[in-house]
Amino acid sequence: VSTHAAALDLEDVAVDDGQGVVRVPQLVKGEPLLATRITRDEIRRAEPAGPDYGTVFRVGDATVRREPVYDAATAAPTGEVRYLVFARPDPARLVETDPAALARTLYALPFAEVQDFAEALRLALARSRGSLLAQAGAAQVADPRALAIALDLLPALLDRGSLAEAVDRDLGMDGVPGTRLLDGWVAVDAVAPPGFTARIGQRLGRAPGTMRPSVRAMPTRQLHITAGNSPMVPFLSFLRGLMTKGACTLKSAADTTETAALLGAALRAADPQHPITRHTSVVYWPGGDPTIEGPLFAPGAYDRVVVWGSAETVRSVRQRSTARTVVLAPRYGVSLVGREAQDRLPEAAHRACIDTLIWEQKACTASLVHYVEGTEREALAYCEALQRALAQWDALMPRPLVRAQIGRLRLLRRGPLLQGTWFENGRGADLRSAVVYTPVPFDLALHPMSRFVVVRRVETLEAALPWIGSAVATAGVFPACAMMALRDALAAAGVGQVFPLGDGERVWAGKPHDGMRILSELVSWVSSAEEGPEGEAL
Amino acid sequence: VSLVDEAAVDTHLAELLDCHRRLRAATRAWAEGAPAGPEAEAARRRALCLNHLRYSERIPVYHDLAAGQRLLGPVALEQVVDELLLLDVFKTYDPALLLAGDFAALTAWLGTVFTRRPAPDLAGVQGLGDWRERLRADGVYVSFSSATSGRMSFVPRDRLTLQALAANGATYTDESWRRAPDGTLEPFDCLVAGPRGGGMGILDAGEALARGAARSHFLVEEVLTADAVLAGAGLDVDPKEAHGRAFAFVRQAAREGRKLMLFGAPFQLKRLCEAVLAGPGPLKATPGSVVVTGGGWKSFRGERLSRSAFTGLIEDALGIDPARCIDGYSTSELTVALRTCAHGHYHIPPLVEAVVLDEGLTGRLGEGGTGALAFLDPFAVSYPGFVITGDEATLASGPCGCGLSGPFLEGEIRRASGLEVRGCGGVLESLAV
Repeated sequence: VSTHAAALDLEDVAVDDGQGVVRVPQLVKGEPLLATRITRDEIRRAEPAGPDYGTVFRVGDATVRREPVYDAATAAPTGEVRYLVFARPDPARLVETDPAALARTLYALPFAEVQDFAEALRLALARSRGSLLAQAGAAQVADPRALAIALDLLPALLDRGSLAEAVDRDLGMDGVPGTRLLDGWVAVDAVAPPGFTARIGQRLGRAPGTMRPSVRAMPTRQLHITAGNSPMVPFLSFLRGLMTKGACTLKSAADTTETAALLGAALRAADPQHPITRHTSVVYWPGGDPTIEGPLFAPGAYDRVVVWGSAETVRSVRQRSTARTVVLAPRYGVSLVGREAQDRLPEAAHRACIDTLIWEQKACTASLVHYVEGTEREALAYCEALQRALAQWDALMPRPLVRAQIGRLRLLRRGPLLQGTWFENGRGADLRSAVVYTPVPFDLALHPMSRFVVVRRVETLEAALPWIGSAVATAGVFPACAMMALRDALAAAGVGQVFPLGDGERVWAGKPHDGMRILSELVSWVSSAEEGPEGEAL
Repeated sequence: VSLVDEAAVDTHLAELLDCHRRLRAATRAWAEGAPAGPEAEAARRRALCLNHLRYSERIPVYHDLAAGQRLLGPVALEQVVDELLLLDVFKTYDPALLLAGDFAALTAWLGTVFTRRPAPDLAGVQGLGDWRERLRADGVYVSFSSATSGRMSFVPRDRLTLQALAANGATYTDESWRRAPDGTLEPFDCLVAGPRGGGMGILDAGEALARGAARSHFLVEEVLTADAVLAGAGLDVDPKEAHGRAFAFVRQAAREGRKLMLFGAPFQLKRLCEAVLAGPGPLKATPGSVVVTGGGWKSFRGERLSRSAFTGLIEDALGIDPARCIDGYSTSELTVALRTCAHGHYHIPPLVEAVVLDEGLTGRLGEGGTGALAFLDPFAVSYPGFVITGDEATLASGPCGCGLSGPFLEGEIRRASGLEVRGCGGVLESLAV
């Protein structure tokens, strides 16, 4: 692995063909995949009618996605449209068909080499930051904000020590670090007596020998179907593949193709010939395409399927895939605000805002519903404090709502949340964030996830428990001392993580996700045994 | 503008009723082929502006919404379109109240979406049927619908609004299918391919059509009550027996040369026709008979047929000409029903104003386009008649080959994405929080 990884050029991430047409490079087993150039006129002829945002259609063999252009300074739509063009990946090239070859190459890599590769990847990204962002800002062919998020956060995630720590903690057993179990067979300090049949066979004259049991965390072939709720999702999913030495096919969501392209380019910059690069694909296709997904979901194509995203996506994959599936289902966060907050409303609201705005409220951990202990008057006072706190964030990190989001909020106000009391920052087209106190239950499926908080009043924090189930990823509790009393009940209800309010975004190496030790799910736990002294009596 | 006591004199009512009278007259002329002129538009828009004032003064949720938008008092109708159209206002109660049978609280909720605060005698009320009867005794006529989301809606009408619901259709109903050469209307038989209704929108439409017939027959004689819908209980029906009686009814009408009107939801008629073909074989209804459908395929989308396949099935089973298959469109809040003409257009009578909304939930009066379909109904005297339907449609305007003019809906009317059950792009499951 080179420690002098080349810096990336914008062309590696987005190829500007002019007139608002941008080809997005992909990666197929280490080789770049780029669509043939097509003109805006060709695209316009094939373009269906529909809203600007998110329309996907075919032009010849290419997939085209139409999306609005945002002003770099204000983040508001400019009214212009651009077209992202993707080559259609060949599913036959994505599937790994020779597990034995993988066992000799990728799977046989010592974890230290994985760390070296991660270091090269980190360097490639770190060295590229300045020039990439400068080029992206000037050329307007890639979203500089999405790239900046990725370039700022990724190097830290690739820290070699943290990677080893995560693997050691997640895969470790019996005091043996996970990296050792991933790298080879590890003896288990256990007695493995012969089975019932062997004992009967002993009557035929041969005593079974002793065995020294061993176990290994065997890498797997992994298909990662990622979601678009955060630009980091493709990276996080890849990182788990990397840490488990998996042969990965990573499908990006339509909303994260730019950051996925950045990942593909960085892998090549780190080392195009490295076994990790040669056994990684980072691709995009419109979800549900049977000509691509049929071969990928065929029995034996992959050992694991990791699926992030909507309930519909999860259901669809589960119906079609026979591989063991790791589901990172849609979940959401809640905030539980105790009566003590009334004396510290600015602090509680500030903390609640942090949990609410994780990845612009698109993360599965972002808080969407706040349960406030107290009277209606106290709940309304909390709403006012939260409105003020959100207004501060609106000023700190302006994020104008797109027209469809504003339309959704207006619809809620004039329908399902008509009986609520609304606290809005901005009006009409200038609406930036909102809080609503509702005396009646709200259907979460209607939540627009756009700096919008639903507040419910409860007599006691315990009274919120019936509303909380396994769909809740994170519960933030205020004050911290109230958390101790609620933690077991929340965990028993299926909540994935319970933190003091404002700390829901904290992570550490090897932290469980959605109630799972995910790296453990991505390896195949294989047991074996070596013979002890022959003929030794039982 | 403050909320007034419900007993206070309705100072706008006389002018509103005069607008209604003028609109009905204009609609009768429109149904005969005359274009609806600017007078009709002026009467309609004046009535809508008057209703805005009345709602602001008399309906608490509307008052609060208008106050929040700083739109109390006289406003341009365009502001109503952009800021005051409502979605599913009749489902905004706490569902726990319904499950608990807390009719006092439900009555109080009804008073927030109505021009009156109903005060019925609720002693001993056992279910929705009882509640509906007690409200009726108090002058509140509640209809309900199950809706595709599963949450029932309750629409409260006063006597004026109920009368409008009953009478508006007569101003534009096309009776030419049963008009004799001498101009008189021939009697007809009506077969309703479903149960009797007990206040539920489409079933009540069937009841109304049956009342106008010389003879009527319901596939299911039992009444589907609101309590049964709430309990998710089906009616205990032997389909074979029910179909047998329906076939006999069709045969009798044919024997006597009487035209038949067949009414039902598309899935009901599809099943009936399939039973005809699987059982006795094609039946021949009297020439000139009609089929009227309503309610769409809703939760029976899995059975959906294209329009041509559907009318072809009806023709095969009953011999009714596809040109005589009419589809109706309405919602539980509207006092009118649109019907398709021979060209497949859903014509909008001058009684109401239709508008399509864009993704930002704004629209332009009098303009066509595709978007979320909304209506402004001047005849909704007792509740907010400014309604976002939750459906998506294409609104157009102009003369039609059928002889009618003005606005119409063309193409398929479908559920607007994300307005019900599937929020935020389907990211999260429907879950009460």
